[in-house]
Amino acid sequence: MNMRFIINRLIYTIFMFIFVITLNFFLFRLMPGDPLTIVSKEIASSPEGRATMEKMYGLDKPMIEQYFDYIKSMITFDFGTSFNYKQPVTEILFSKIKNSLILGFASVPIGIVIGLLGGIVAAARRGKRTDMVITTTSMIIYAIPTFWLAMIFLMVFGVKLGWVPINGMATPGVDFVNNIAYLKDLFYHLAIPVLSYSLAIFGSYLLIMRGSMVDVFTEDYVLTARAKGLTEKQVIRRHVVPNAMLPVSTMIISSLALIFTGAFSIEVLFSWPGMGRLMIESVSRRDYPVMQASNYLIAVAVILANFIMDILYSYIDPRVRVE
Amino acid sequence: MKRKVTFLLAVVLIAAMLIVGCSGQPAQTETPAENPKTEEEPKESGPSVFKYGFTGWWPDSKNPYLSSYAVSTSTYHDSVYEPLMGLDQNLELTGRLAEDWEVSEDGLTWTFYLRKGVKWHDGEDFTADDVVYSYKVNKEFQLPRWYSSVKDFTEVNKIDDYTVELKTEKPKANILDAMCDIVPEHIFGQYDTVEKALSFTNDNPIGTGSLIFVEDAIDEYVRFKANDNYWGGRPKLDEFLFVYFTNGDTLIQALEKGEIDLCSVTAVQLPHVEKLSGIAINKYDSLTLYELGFNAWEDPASKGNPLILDPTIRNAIDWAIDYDTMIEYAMGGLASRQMSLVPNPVGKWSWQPGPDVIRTYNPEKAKEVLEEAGYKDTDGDGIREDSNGNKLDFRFSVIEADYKDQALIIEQNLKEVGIKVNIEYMDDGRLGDIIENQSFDTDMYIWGWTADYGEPSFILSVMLSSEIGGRSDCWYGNPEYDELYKLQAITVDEDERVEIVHKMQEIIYRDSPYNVMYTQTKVQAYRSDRWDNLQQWPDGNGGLLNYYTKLAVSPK
Repeated sequence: MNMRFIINRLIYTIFMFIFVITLNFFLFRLMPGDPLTIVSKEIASSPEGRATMEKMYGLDKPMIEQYFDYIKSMITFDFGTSFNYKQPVTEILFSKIKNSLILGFASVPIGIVIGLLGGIVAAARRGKRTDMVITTTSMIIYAIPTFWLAMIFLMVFGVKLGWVPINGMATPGVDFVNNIAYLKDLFYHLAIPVLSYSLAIFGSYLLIMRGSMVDVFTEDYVLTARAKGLTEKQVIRRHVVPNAMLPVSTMIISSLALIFTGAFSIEVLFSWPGMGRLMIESVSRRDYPVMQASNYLIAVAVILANFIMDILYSYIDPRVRVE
Repeated sequence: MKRKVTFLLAVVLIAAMLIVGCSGQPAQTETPAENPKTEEEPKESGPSVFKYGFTGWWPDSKNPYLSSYAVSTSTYHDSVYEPLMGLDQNLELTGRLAEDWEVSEDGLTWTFYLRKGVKWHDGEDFTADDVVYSYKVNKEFQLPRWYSSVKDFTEVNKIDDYTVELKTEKPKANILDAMCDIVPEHIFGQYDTVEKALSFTNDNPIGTGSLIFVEDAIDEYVRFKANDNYWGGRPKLDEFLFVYFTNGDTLIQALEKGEIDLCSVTAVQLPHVEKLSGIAINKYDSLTLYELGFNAWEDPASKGNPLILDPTIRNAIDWAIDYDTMIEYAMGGLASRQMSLVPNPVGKWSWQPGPDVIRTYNPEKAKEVLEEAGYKDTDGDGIREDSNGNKLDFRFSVIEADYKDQALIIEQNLKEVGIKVNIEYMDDGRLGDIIENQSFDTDMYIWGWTADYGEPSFILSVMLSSEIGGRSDCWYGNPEYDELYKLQAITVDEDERVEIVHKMQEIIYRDSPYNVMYTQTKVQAYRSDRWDNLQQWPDGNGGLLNYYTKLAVSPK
């Protein structure tokens, strides 16, 4: 029974995977424009030179042949050479994902923790002034465009107060004496991006956590718990929060998977060399190998996260397992 | 109880903020204001580091055969590699790796006398072999970047270690048009097939230039140090950094803060930057021109509206558009009206329309021209028709991110004279696709080019019928123009050549496959409180990021 559930999910996952991988190939090639037309306005390129490049990119092959090359590269994880950077895609992706993970894992957990705690407090005090203050504040911050908020932080903490650097991940052209010096430099560069990023996302967790808890408060088992004579604190801790966490945990898992995709607006503003920027730029440059590989990796991450979540969920919430 | 919860919340929130804050500034309390200054400190004791901040694309390749983005040239190749000859600050020919040069009586043999004692950055000697290799490989492999410069040479011969001879079938009007980066044979020579040559990543470029490559980090920065043994003297700075920004406003903040020393400024940013102390502004007329282009492809396969093939209509459109207003509102005043294909700052090569042919903003004249040619609004809907009832109704492809304001002004101006345009917004990839792969499925568009100093042939070549499907974007074809192009390329007498080049521009102005709109006025800002001796190229009206600045800029 249990095994069958897992196998079902697995088959579904594999099917999903094949669908995404095929879509991934054709979607990008259906886009107007190609990587060579893009550079036709740049440095003088001769028709002969263009032909040389076309051959190098493999764009002279028939579409179906390109498709099988593509499938092969996706399975072997050999993503070829980026048209834009002229370097192995795997190398570029690796460094970008690393950078996005640094930023993401420094910011998202902070956002989640503030959001959840805020949500719990607001729900516990629902309808009271505390709730009003917390909910309104978080909605206001949530509604502020991220790039604007981040720009204000950049101007205040970076330029006016001069506490932290404002661009990139590391002070360019510095030979760090040791890793400690490098980490210190990295921390400085992380400060405003992390502050902006976590503030940008905490509101959604807060509102969902609060909403979910307010729903649970109306359940009969909460009434039962109160009737048993538990204090409000005990009711919240033992009955309301665990149940309210169910929908929220789905959101958390999927947002952790999405850390891979980077935070585009933050990355652009601070020139953070991460995945968000890479993906947008590869689209505008029609850099097929990078577009394919990054979409593929994200699809894998999301599909895997969903699969794991499905399995975990069946343990957290036994109702899911019942067919 | 109530108070306790609120208090707890406050503590949690403050703690969370502190975690965020602290992770950012771990040393803030221990060593106040020491760490953020580390970037500035070396200026007094350590090396002097000049930082140029740039936005846009990251360079595509360090391989000089391959890179196709202009930014790859301005960052890597111009710093590391050198051609045989270049232009000095007065735009006169000057020797770079060639000390001297001469041309034979018949104009078919060029002899270059190379500088002696020049060393590659890895210590090897630079000799004639490197020059012969560089010219040959670009030609034989048809390498994308330099092929058009070297293709005319039939022979490249080494006379001795420091003399090279290049032979052509026809005389070359301007040898500057035949320069390519000279690369070291002892490094590139081993890549002996096209595939190998192109897939070489050249991770550590070795050249002869004034700057030596140190390291780079993709999408972050490129770092160079001064070449102590440079033949033109050691640069006055110790290091030169190109720092990448993905946001133009962050770039300006970084200039203000002192994280960078030189950068470009947009019209919107200029008023703010002008107010900053310790920062100087350099405004100059660039060679970047913008055009209102038309589908001039006369082939039946063209999907454009056939009416736009009539030069009368294209001329009338030129009369109808108020470019001064466009420059003021769409460009924030940072542009100069330009009518000919070769931009004014190129000097003698640029042609100016005389009083008898010049077209300036005059909607009445536009209407008159259209009436005369038989385009009248007979059904009273405000749009003119030809005698068969075909409306002057055109599709207008506009790269939204770049030319939206310009397009709106054009739409309004043309409406006033009875021409309807339908703006279709897109990105540059889509526009390229419409022209190249969809049989020119549009009627008008806005695009731009950057011309070269000292030599007009590149910008003239975009109108050649042989460039249809290649460099051309309006797909104009005119046998007379093509002939003149061939003629100017072999006309050694400069006055004669200037005349031909002017004639070509006159043809383009008359036929209007483009209505050239304006050239961009570029603005740069730099830390004049820290640096002296930045150089303009060309002197008096030029940009600051160039060969001469790299040599001369010195810390205060």
